[in-house]
This record gives sequence, structure tokens and C-alpha cells, in this order.
Amino acid sequence: MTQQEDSPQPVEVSTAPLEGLPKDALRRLDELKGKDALFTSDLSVNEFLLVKEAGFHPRGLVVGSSIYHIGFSARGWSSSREVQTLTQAMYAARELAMSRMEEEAAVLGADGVVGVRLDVGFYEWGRGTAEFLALGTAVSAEDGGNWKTTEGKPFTSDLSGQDFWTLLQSGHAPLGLVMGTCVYHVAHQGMFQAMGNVGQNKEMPNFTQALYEARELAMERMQDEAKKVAAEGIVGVQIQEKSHVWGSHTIEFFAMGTAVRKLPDREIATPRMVLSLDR
Amino acid sequence: MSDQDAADQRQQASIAALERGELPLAAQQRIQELRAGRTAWTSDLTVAEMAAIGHAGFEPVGMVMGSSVYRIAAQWGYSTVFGGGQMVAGGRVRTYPCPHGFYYGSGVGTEHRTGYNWEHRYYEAGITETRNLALRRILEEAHGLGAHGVVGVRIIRRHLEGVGNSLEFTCIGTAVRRRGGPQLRVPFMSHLDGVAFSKLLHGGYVPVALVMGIGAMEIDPGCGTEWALRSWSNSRIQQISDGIEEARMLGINHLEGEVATVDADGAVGVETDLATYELGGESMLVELFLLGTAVRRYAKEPLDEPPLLIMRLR
Repeated sequence: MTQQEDSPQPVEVSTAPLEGLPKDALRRLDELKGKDALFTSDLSVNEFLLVKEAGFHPRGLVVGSSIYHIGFSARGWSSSREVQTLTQAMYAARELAMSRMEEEAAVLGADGVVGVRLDVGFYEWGRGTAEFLALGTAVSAEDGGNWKTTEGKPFTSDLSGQDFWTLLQSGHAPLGLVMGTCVYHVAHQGMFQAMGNVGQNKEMPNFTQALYEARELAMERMQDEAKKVAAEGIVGVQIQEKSHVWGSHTIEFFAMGTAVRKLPDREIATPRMVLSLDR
Repeated sequence: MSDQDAADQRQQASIAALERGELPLAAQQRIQELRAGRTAWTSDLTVAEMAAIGHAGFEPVGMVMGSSVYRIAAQWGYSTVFGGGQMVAGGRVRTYPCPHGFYYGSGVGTEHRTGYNWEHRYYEAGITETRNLALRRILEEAHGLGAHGVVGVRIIRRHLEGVGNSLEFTCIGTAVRRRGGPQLRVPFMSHLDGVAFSKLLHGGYVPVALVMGIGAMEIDPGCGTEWALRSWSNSRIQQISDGIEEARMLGINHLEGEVATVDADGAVGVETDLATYELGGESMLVELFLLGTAVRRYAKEPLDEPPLLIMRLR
């Protein structure tokens, strides 16, 4: 394998700071613009048909990415605490990826982005360096109605095509993905304190407090974001817990969901129970 | 540094609140904000689940959580127990005497010994207490929101890496409210998702509470069992079979006991989880964990028409 490795080819890299979108992205988006342009999407056939049924047309895949250094070492920390630098980095990196994706959607003139996936990936070449990637399908309303957020930006949502259809039917419209994160360091020292009186079942309040607090903070921050966009509520919240590259005692608690607003005069039809004869 | 001092102080206050039996400060604050309606409601229900509970007359109020990290004191081995280390009163003990005609203490060395299967009551109690604390906290959050119940409760049950004998028990779900319904003394809880919850109501049942059953048996193999494990022929290992059987039975008995305590008609969606742990030496712990939603009948007849039969074209 190593013998066949090509010598690195010089690549032309622009040293200009990243202002707006890369040139290649703009060229790709240009081809997708126009009224009769082809579209790309990662929707399944069922999702595609339901998005059409909901009165939307897919415009194109949109993507945003940011690479962030999130290395960290907690040597010598004797108490549990929030790692604020990491909290901020994890948040800012996702926010940046999302805003680049939104920008792509805006270039397309789309009303929103559905099926957004937000991934964090680590590469072997960069210790503690992570790529934050946001990817989704931009859609436009066929009747030309206004679905954009109050700031005039396209809405974003991690809902599938099916969920998107159901949401509209039930009288809600997506406003945007909202998220909150909290990176917490749970101190090792407690281990020895805990071993002190073996023989007795007992709560370990320092650990309870650390995990409890971290999740609550992530949820509260997500709530604050929803408040900012004047949402009625947040649906489909997921809470993820990951240690990424920091070892098991430093954990990111990440909460994310789709903020929704109420649509006037919509009532969902009564669902009927069905029993499938297939097996 | 002063920022860190403030954070430390707040943390101490939060731990003190937990020890007083209150919720940690961040939880109190979040619940207050949700309750005051200053912020959007939150829900980990999917859109389909939301539509389903809406159809049943319910709306989400906010996500709620209860969590506890417990130290489960572990004193394994029958010598500790019979040496008076931990209570075993009322627990099941079964002995497996040496099948070779020797008995413990007869001076033939450690090769021959009696085997014991015994119920680890103290361990069971520890897990139950952890669960009770977590449930009390999630119910307190739900009650604080003026909710009628919590649906889609997800359980996280795990050992914290690097923290000796720790058990984390966390439950997270969405608090819901029935429009115009009176406040309940104790909100109901269910681990069923929103769609199943709605189907249950239409079928004439209401969820009452999360119920749990735990059965823990320590198996200290006797020489007969050890010889059988080393045997070249396939054979049934009586002592281990008995131990697993008994853990299963204990778990189910405890679950049924909890269903009776909350005055329910039965439990649905019961999930079982069988785990074994090595305890050092030849001993092991067999643990059966059951979790379900207790339900009570409220209508004589199911409310919905019979389901529509369909065939998919695919």
C-alpha cells in the first residue's frame, strides 16, 4: 500500500479567509437555481412524494461544514464542573456548519431545509480536530407562500419527509433547529470518597448533581434558543451523550430538536387503526 | 477565578438541595421557566407521537427528567453473609451439598465444598432505592409543570466508568397535560411511546405507573457444579439453571407486587433484561430486570371501531 502511494500533488488553495461560500459551492448552486433546473435530494421516494404532497418542491442538497479543534485535557481537576471552553467550541462549530448550510439554501432561494443531519466526525490526521457537518435537502413552497423565519432565513428541521407532512397536517410549521450543549467534567476523585464506606447502599449526590445539572443545562439552553425565535414548542428532542475524544469522564450532553410555530385553522384528520396482513 | 468560585458555590448549593430531597438548582430553574410559560414547551415525542397524543386530547408541556447515582454496596460471597455481614433474612437460599460424600469442614481441603444459591436482597434493595429516587425526581418535575402524566419514558441504567460500585438510574420523558383536566395528585408514567399511549386510551385503558421487578441471585458453585462444568460430556448444570430460574421468578414476583401496589389491572410492554456478572472466584451474580407500564381499565368497551385490515403493495 505504502509503495503505491502517490506523491502529494500541489493543490491550489486560496489563502483568503472564508467569507461566505467557497467558489465551487456557488457554481454548483448556480446550476441548481432556475425554475426548471434539475434537483438533487437525499429524500427516499416516500419522503419525496410526501414533501410534494405537502406542497413543496425539493431544490437541492445543501451542506455546511466547519472544522474545529476541540482538544482538551483535564489533568489534576479535582471537582466536577462544566468545561466552558469546550461547551462554547462545540456550540460555535455546529452553529457555523448550520449557518453555512442555511446560506447555501438562501442562495438557492429555498424556503427551508428538511431532513437535516448534524454529524461530528473525527479524523486520524488531526488530534482533537473534528469536522462538524450539516446536510439536508432544500425545499421551496410551490404556492409561493411565506415559510421563512422572522429573520427572512430559510427554516431548518431534522424531520423526515413523513414527519414534515404530518407536522403541517397537525397545524404546525417548522421554524428552525434549536440546540443546547453542555460539556461537563465528572471528577475522578469521587471514586475514592465513594469507596470510603462500602457496606452501605447510599446515593452519591456529587455524581447525581453533575449528570443531572449537565443535562438540565443542555435542555435549558435549547429552550432559550426556541424562546429567541418565538417558537410555540420544540418537537423531536434528542439528548445525546458522548465523550468524543476526551475520555470517559468528560461528557458532552447535547440536546437538539425542531422549533415549531402554530398554523391557523388546521385540524388533523382522525387516524384510523390499521392491521397489516403482511408479515 | 471568581467565576470558578461562583460555579463551585452553586454546585455545593445544588448538592445540598439534592440531599434535602429537592431537585438540583438547574432543574428547579428550568421547570420554573417552563411553568411560567416564558419559553417554548419541549418534547422528545416524534411528530407522529405528538399527533397521536393530540388526537387523544393531550398536549406536551415539557421534557422532564429524574436521575440518581447510587453506590450499590457489594459484599459478595456466602461467608460474608453467614458471617453476619449483610442481612439475608427472608431471602432464598438453596444449598448444593458435595455429591462425592464429603462435606464442608470434613478436612478434605478446598476441593470439596457445598454450593450456595442465594438471593441478594441488599443488592435488590439498592437498585430499587436508586430507581425510587429517580422516579420521585421526574414526578416532581412533572408535578411542578402541572402535568397529568409522563409518556415515552426512557430509562438509562448503567455503571459509571471508573466509579466503584456505582449505578446511574435516569429516566427522561415528555410531560403531557389533558386540556381542561383537573390536576392529579400523582402524575401517571408510562414507558410506552406517544402512539402506543394513544392506542391504549382508545382501547379503554389508562397507564398508571412505571413498574419494575428485580431478581438477583448469587451463585457460589459447589464442587458438584464445578466438576460438571469441567466434564467432557454435555449435561445440564443443575445449580446454575436453578439460579437463573430463581432470578427470573423473583423478578416477575416483584413486578407483580408493584402492579398490585399501584392498584392496576396489569402491566403491558414489559421488557426483560438478564445480565450476569462475575464476582471473583467462581461466583457469579445473575440479575433479571423487568420494566413495564401498569395499566388500569377505565371503560368497559374499547372506544374505537375494529382495525381496518390492509395489504401493502410492495
